[in-house]
Amino acid sequence: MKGTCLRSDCGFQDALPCEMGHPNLLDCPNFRATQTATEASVHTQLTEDISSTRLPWTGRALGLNDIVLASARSSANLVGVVGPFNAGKTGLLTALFSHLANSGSVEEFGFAGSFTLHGWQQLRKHTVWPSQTGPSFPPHTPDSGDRVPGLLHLAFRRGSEPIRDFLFTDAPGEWFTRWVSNQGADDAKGARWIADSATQLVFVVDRASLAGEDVGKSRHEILALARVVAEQRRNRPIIIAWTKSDLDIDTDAEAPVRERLREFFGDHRSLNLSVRDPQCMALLAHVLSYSAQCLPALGGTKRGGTSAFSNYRRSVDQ
Amino acid sequence: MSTKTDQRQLLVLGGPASGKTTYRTQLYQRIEHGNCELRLSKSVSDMTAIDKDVARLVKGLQPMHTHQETYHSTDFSVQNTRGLTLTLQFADYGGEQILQIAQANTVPNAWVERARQSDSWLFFIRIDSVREPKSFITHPVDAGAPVIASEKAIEEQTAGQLDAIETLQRLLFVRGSSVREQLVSPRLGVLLSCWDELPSDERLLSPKIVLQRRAPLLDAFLETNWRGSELRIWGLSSTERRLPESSPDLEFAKKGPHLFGYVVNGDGVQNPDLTIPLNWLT
Repeated sequence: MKGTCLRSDCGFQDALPCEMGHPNLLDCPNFRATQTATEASVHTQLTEDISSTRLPWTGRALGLNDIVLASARSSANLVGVVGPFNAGKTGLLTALFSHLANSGSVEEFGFAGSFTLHGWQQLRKHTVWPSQTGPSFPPHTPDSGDRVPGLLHLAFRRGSEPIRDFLFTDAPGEWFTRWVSNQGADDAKGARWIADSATQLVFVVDRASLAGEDVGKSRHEILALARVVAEQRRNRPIIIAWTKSDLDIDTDAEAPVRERLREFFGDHRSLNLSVRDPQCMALLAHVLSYSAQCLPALGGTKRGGTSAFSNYRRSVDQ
Repeated sequence: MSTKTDQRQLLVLGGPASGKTTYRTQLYQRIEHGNCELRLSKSVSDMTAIDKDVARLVKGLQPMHTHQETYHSTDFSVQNTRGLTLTLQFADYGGEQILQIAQANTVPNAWVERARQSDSWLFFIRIDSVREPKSFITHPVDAGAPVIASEKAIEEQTAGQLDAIETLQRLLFVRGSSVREQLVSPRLGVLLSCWDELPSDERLLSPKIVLQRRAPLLDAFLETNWRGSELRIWGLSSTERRLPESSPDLEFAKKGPHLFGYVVNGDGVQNPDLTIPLNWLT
């Protein structure tokens, strides 16, 4: 809907949701609708707008403008999932959600909602059987020149504590390849955003890639990316997720890579995971255990965890 | 005993074929015949919304599916066990409206108002048809599995408990209820309908355990977001058996609908008083 807002701090003009939390802009006392000629002539269109309330989320992966949804009610955690091309980042996210959907909780944290249920469902549906095409991991995340990756959301609560929000980046591996090649490249801005904005990092390594014919290339890609991530880590928590740990892979290349990663990252946690094993939820357990930190300034949004929006939402409850 | 009269708005939630119509019809039968926690304090003044359903049930036939566009409310003047006399507004509608809330990007303003003005919510889930889909990540693939599911069937299967969660999230949002802290309002009752159609071993379990097994995410969502005192889960069998659509169940008709049906409380014990959830919600 077109219009203006009387509040100078409202992000409406930047296509952000209403600062006061009104999903229907006509309900906000600060909003002034402007009716264009087209809108005035198409009466039915106007009627439709007024007869329903637009929600600030669709269920699909979130974008930059949607972060306020999660950050308004808690100090949201942004988990940067990083790894070379084909490391299995999306597959790992899919596995975490599939196991969560079967358990409902991670240790003492219970699932408390998600603004991206449709996005998770779209990933998981590829893994369902029986199916006509046979179960598989989701297809490769499409490469794009976006500024920000798709963000998948999960909320948890421990006991009666306030809710905790987590956003997981789902970025194509090509972003990190270009970033390593040229850290200032225009087409690596998505990877830079993750490195700048994440409150914690998960570095995904596919063990099987160190056993194949391309072991030299894989080792180079892993270590080159690890070096850049380590330089920009700024003491943030990082977990190295070694996938396919259930496979009995004979690789001489793995031990030296592990050693180099220890040198790069120093104090960090390293987990051996298999996506088919519920133990891979240990990764989620560690992510949740890190204390929540406020999102840093995110790509020019005007809000943090204590915005007028969040204050408004809280006042509604009291 | 208090003579205070109150108006309680109940928001009835449930997708298609989740048992709303049958429960409302049986609720009328129960409070007409007495011996329930909720007692009818005055006859139902407008029966038009449930007349046809009552007529079918007393013949031993299941009520017809409520049309997608329909939304009609029936007022029951009742007294609860705390002595409160109140008008309970119980609506029935085509469950497709709830699916739309979960799947569209907008919520009809009529539903926004209902979410805001209701005092308590009653959520119907047809529990015998809820089951998490098998993923090769969590369940080893059975190569001999005979059924080849269509893409649409897989979509529906994976949507199951997620649609229920999305519906609740969205209605809470438009109501203005933040889940930053655990909710004390609206009070929520969950009815796991078609309990009699569950396998016999599951019927021995408590409703909470059955929900946890069949829809772990939904169960966790409810438990984490509602304060314990404001959430209850019951099993529900409104008629104790599947009634036919066209050929009447004569035994059911002869004995009378009021002698059939039960709720299952938290301990897994059956109770024929179908008004127990509503007494708690009011």
